[in-house]
Amino acid sequence: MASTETLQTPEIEYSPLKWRRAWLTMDKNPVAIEFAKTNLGVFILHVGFILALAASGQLSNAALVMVSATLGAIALAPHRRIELLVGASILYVILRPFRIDGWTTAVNLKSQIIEASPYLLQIPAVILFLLFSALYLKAMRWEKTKHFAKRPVTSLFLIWSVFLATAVALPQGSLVGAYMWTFVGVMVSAIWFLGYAAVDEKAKVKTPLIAKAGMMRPIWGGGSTPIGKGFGYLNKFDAKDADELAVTRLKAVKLVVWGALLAGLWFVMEHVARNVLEIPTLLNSILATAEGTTTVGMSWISLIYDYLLDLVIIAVWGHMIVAVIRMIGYRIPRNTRNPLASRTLAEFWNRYYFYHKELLVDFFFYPAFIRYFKKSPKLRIAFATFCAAGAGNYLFHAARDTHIFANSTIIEGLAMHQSAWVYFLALTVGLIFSQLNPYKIKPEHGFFCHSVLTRINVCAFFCLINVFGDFTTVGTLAERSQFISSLFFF
Amino acid sequence: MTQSIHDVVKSMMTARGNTQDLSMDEPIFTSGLLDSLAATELMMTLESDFGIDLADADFDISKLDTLAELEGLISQTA
Repeated sequence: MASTETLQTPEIEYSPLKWRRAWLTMDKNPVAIEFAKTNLGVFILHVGFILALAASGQLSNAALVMVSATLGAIALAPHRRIELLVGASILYVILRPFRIDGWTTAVNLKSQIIEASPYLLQIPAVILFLLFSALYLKAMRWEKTKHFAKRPVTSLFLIWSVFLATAVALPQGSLVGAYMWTFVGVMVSAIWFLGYAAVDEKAKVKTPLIAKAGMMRPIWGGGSTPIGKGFGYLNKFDAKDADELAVTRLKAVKLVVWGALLAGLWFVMEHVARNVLEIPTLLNSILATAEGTTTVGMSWISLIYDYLLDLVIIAVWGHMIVAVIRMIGYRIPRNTRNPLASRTLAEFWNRYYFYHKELLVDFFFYPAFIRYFKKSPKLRIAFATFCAAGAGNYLFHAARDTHIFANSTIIEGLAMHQSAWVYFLALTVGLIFSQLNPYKIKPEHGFFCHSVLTRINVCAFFCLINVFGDFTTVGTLAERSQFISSLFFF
Repeated sequence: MTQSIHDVVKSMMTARGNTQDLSMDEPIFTSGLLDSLAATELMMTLESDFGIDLADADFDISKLDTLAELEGLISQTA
């Protein structure tokens, strides 16, 4: 008979704060890192990861199966990681080539007109686009095209504009017209991915051309903004050995669990707002103001609540994508990192949607900054900021939403942009002022000024310009302006 | 010269409340350690203090992301 002493199991102290600390520091805990390197550890981490991913409710069942299968395959055959990643991404882009519902709807409408399945339009368009991408990247290596290689945005948008003009010019009910619109949609959905692939031609670590051309919609999903950029960026954050891979996977699990908790918070906030407190959405509040059926107090509540919901959902969505990329072995930075802590508008942009800010900085800000107004530092920064936050940001959204021209005239389509123009103008002016403002609030100005007032200012600015951040036809510029006026009793 | 660019980056990080040690190959801007505004400050310093022409046709902006790359760029120009 065993002694009483040997039968005793170590007591687990009930201390949620210690558990929390242990969880948050597990990627620095040598025992956890060693365990994460074992086969059992890898298995448990992957199972836990996929469960948290599923619990977040951010992925469809099909996407969850694809991501799980890809992660599992990469864990089993890490030496085939690139092939598996690219293969899964090609399958993904064929099945889901568009990033926004507008393009899916537009292509579905075209397919109904010509009485064909949308897949008959999509699949050939995706295959043609992947071939085009490979040829484009190949051309970037030729000496004669060096000028274009240094300006991927210009060259890509010139080519895309030709396809767009052709799609507009072709008879709208024709088969060729339907194919051209589908190709335009597929291309613009992946244009920034192709842009980063072109930039990666200059990267130190060379990735095979076919792999780069196949990553036009990576398996981790997301919108038109390439989270994780391209292989050149991913390779900078690649885990170099088993220890780094274990740490990266532990960070991935931490992030996906945090994302799932935030998804729960978002769900509760949304449910409480709409069903219990009956707070209308911002758009409904704008329309209600135009009809005179709401109060100023409810307008403010709706504005602030929508802003908070937006912050939470963008964090959830970004965390899920970054977590999947980390699970594959690339320890890239988060997309959203405590945006409410921002003390300046420029800092908010960095913290709120890091990879969209990076896209605009990489493709618009830096190219303008290094070329223009070098003699005048202030004008130089202001112009580069205009190119990124104003012109580049507008181009990004306007190109992404060109599906509206598939079923309306150019004038009608441009009319839908009027609110967005105000948004980009206000954002540009705000960011320029934020960067050039000589009066910076410092800690010596006191806690309230430095830590509270600055953050309230940033929140108020983004809250208010959100009223105009819309490309839909619902809620005209006049109605949105009336809403803003009503907030201040005008 | 090498020490100088290291100091410039370090002082930018300190000014933004970041006192962590930076390895030579650690991404500075693409990892979000420093933001694009800091990048513009650094680029202006490279032009004014190190005589580097950023508008040169062969200049590659992505080569400014680590201390090692910055040092390489400065030594090429020197």
